Amino acid sequence: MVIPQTIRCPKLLHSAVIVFVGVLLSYAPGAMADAGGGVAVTPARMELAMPEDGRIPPIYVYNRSDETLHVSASVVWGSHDINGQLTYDALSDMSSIISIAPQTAAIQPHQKLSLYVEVHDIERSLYPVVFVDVQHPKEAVPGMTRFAVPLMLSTEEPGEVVVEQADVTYDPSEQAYYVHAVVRNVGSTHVRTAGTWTITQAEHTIAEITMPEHVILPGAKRNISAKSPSLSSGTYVMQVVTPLAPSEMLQTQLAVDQHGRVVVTEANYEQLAARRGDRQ
Amino acid sequence: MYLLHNIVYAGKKATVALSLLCVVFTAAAVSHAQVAETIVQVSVPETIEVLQWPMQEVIVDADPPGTDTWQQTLALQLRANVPWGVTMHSDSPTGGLRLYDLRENKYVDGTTPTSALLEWTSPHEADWRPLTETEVDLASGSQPTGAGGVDVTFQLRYTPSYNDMATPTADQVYRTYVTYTVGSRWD
Repeated sequence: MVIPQTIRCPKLLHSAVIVFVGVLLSYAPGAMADAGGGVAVTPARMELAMPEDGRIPPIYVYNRSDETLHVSASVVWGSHDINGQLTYDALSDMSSIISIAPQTAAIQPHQKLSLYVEVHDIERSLYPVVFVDVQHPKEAVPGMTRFAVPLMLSTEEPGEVVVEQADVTYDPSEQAYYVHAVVRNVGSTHVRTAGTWTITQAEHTIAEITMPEHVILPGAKRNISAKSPSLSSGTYVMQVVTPLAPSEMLQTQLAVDQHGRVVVTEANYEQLAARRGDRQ
Repeated sequence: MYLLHNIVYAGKKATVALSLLCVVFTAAAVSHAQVAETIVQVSVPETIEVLQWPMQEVIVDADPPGTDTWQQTLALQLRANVPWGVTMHSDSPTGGLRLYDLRENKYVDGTTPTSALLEWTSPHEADWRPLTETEVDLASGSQPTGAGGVDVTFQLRYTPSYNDMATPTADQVYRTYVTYTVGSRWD
C-alpha cells in the first residue's frame, strides 16, 4: 500500500493518483486448480493411543501441482473453543515434548513428502497440532498458507467431565426448541460426550434427548446442543445426566410462555459446584 | 393290454433311475467345484486438499485518501472428506498496514500501523471487521465436499486516510500478511 503525497488541490491531483495496496495473501497459482490438483495433506487428523516408542504414523503432503513447493512443518499446542472450533497457541514451544522431521523440505511436482512426528513424553495424553506451511515457489513468504493437523494422543486414563450449565432455547425462525449443555472436561485425557437431557412436567416425562457425541479436550469446554420436541407453555424440569460424571445430575426448572420463550427459573449449578469443591 | 402296461411301467422305472443318476453325477460334480471369493477392503484416509488459495499478492490501484474504498473479493477452493474449517488472520495487531521496504524485504523499523484498517467480511457476516492477529472463522463444513470441492469467498477492503502519512519513497509500501489455515476439527 503506497499512499502518495496527496493534497486536495485539483491542479496537483493528477500527479498523485497512484495508490497501491500491497496486501500479500497466499500462494495460489491458477494453474494449480486448472491441473485438477493442489496441495493435499493426509491424514487430516489423527486419534490414537500413545505409542510406546513415541513414533506417530507419518503425515503425507502431496504436491499435485506442476511447481516445486517449499514447505515447513512445526508443532504447537492445540485445543478448541466452546463451539468445537480448532484453536492453538501458535507461539508455544513443544520441541522438548514432541518433534517433527523434516522441518523444511521441497516437494517436486506430483511427489509427496512424509513428515515424521516423535513424542518424547509418552506418559500423558497430548493434543498437539501439526502446522504444514506452504510457501510460494518464487518468493519466500513465511507462513502464508497453512494446514493444521490435530493429533489426539491419549493414554489410558478415564475421562471426567462436569456439566456446568443447561438450558432450552426457542428458535422462532425454525419454530424449534433446542436443549443445550455446557460440558467441561476436568480430566487429563479427551472424552466423547454421552448422556441425556430429560424433560419432565408434573413428573411425567415429556422428552428424553440423547446427547450427541463430541470431542472435548482436557481443560476445555463445549456447548453441546440437540433438537428438542416442542414444548407448550408451562413449567418443566430438565435433568442432564452423563455417564462421564455419574455422581452428578444437573437440574434446571424452565418456564415456557405462550410465545415460546424459555426462561430458566432455577438451577442447581452452584450446589454442584460447591459439592465439587468439597470433594477437592 | 398287460404288455402295454408293463412297457409303460418299465419306462417309468427307467426315467426314475436316469433322474437319480443325474442327481448323483451333478452332486459329484459340485463336490469337486472350487469356490473362491475376493474380499475388497479399502481404508480411505482423512484428507483435506486445497485446490486454489487466494491470490498470493494483491497490489491495488486505489484513489487518493478521502475518496473511494478499495475492495476485492477473494476465494479459496478446497475439498475434504472430514469436517473442515478455514480461518484467517493477519500479522497486524490492529488491522492497520505497516510500512514495508521492498529493497530490504522487511518492515521498516519503528513505524506504527496505519490508522486506516484492512477489513474483511464474508457472505456469512453482516459487518466489516478489522483483520487482525486474532484468528477469524471464514467457513466450515461437516460433510464431505464432493470431488468438485467448495469455494470459500470473502472480501477485503481498505480506505486510505489522511490520518496516515504518505509512503515516503517508491520502494516503500504499506503491507500486511494474511495467513489462511485449513484444518479438520477434533471430532
